[in-house]
Amino acid sequence: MKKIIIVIAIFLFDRVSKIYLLNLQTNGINIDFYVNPFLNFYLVWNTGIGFGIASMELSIYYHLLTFIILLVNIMLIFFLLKSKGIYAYLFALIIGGSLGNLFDRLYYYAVPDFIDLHLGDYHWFVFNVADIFITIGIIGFILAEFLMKRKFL
Amino acid sequence: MTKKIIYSFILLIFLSSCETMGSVKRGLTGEKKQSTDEFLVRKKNPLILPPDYENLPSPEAGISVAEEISIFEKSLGTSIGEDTFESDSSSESLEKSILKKIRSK
Repeated sequence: MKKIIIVIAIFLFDRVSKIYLLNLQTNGINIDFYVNPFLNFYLVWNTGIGFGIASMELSIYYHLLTFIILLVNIMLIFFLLKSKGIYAYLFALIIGGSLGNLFDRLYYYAVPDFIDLHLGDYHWFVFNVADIFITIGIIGFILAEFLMKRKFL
Repeated sequence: MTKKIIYSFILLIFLSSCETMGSVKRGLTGEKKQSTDEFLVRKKNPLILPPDYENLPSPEAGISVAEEISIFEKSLGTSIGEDTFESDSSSESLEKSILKKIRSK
């Protein structure tokens, strides 16, 4: 039950952040905020997958990619329900974020990214709240693989 | 274990949606967005003084407006303030009546 609550909480947190920024833009505010020397908010729309790969126009390939991501999500939900202990929480983090991005792919046909970390003029990829949780989940998953000998299922 | 880590990275790429600002190259080199095209801006020449600027008379050296009016009045032999142009009932135009006045002086 806890796993499901984590998934829903992350999904809602991601949705609220995206809706808030998109509402700002609808009200005529350009999403290009300077927060501090390392962080900007700058809205871009991603039609592809992670790290700017496979950005494309809306086409059959876009829908095919969305379908693959949907299948991956279903597979992950299956793992979530089967897994136990730390792995269950890590899967919950990944799925919470992943469902947030999948929702955008289906609803807006693109994923809004707006967090721009940079050091001077060197920018990291622009990401969103869902990506943070997915990345934490994946890093945790890799660390758990190193540190724990237990299988995740 | 290596397989699982590779799968994890593939999962990360598929599920996350981080995007560059345009292209991977631009994202890594940090070019943020299109800035002003400097080639569309025409360069202005710097402001310079005219060559004989020093020789031009300064406004203080010239005659004042009041003096100018008094010289004009003197040449007309009358004051501008007075109503010297009487309305003539004849068919002469105003111009002719002025010329007549001037000649008569």
